[in-house]
Amino acid sequence: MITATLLSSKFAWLTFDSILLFGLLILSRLPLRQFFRDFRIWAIFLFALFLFQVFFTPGPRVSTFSWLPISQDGLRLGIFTCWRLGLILGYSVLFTAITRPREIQNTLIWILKPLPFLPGRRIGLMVSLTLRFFSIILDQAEEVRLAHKARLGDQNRNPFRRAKFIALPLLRRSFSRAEDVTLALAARGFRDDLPFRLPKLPVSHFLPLLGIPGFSAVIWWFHL
Amino acid sequence: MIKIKDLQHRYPDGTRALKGIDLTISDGEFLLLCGPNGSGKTTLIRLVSGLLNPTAGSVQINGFDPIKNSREVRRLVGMVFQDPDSQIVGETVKEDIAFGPENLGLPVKEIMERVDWALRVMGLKEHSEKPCYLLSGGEKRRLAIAGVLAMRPQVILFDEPFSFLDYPGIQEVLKHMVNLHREGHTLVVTTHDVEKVIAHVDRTAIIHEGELKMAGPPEELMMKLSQFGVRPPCYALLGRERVSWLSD
Repeated sequence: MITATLLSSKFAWLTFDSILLFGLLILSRLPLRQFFRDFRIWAIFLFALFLFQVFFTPGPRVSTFSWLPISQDGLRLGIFTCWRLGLILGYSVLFTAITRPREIQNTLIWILKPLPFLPGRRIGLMVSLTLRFFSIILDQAEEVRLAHKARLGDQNRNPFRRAKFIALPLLRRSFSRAEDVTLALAARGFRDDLPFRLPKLPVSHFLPLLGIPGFSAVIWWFHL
Repeated sequence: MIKIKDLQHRYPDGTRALKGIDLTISDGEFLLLCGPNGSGKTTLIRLVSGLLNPTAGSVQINGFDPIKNSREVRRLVGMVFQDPDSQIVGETVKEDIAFGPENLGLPVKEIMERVDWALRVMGLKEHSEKPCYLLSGGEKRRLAIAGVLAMRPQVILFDEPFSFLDYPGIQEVLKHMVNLHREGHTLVVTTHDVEKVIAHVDRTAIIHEGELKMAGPPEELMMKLSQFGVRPPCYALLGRERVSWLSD
């Protein structure tokens, strides 16, 4: 449902999605400060995209800032693109934050179950472990960065050199840990060929599905 | 019984980790495998559990080959890794303990029974729904052991089980090891820091540069440990009676 409204370029739908996202964030009780801090890196990317759209989209200039080479179409396109992308990112962050890795794993297994030749259980476990170990990798990255800093590594102006001395140890540790995890999985008898045993969905999870026909009718009526 | 015959292992980079080990471990034995870093202790127990293929030689556990009969060996042998974070794959404590029994293809009811039992034995009942990343070092180690115990192995291999642990944590793990031994499990512990566990083992084997140098009762080997880069326990150096880390 959200995807359908995000595909639209109408101001009203994007406003609706923004209000809905904000409401869901409040309901989820996620620490908002942490949410916006995580969003900071994406904000730089979105700003770069906005500037690209604004300066490189042809069309008549904005009358208020006629001295700047900004087109009206570029401004509108930039705003809508970044707004839409920002909402997509926001919903993705929210989804990842409130959904347990086990539930994502079970969902993936359920989706991949009818597909032959795809090891659904292995893929589901890989995704679940990636989510679980992502925070461990971030902690290790911070440790490597501090160790680098302790030897004045941060004084070096060359960003490629700095990236090399942080990325290489981190990659090495990540691969080493991945190898250990693989051995640990094997030691506990992990198998691809076990029959799937997915938990039953609670009835409350089906309730939102009842709203889909009504919501779809509203979207269709507005598009007419 | 574990029978190891002329076991050799060479890593892809050419390192000869094991140069021909012959060792027999009886049922119910508590064996200490000691040696300095890089002596081949971890390689040896990974070969015993079938996680690595030997370059030459053989391992048999109750007649089963760990490579050819991996499923049977997984039921017989459990391994507790040095770093519990590598071993913990579940989101919550209960989920992680259930991982092993699920892989055995057991019915749901039996999985739940084994999980409850393992939680009780390792004193993790109150943490059953806790996310694993919130556990302390000692709790993670107990969880790693519980996850292996839930598979009901006869043999339990511990790789440097006391790393990253403080004194109470060491005592806790040691207490569980002693109980497991008392219940009849075969335990093999690898460590370079023998002080913590040597008072409780039946036999000690010294691995040095990929070779088994000596094996025998701890009292006979105590003063020869230093020749092979292993510090003897303090009580032996002071000529005192055996002292356990469980006695305060």
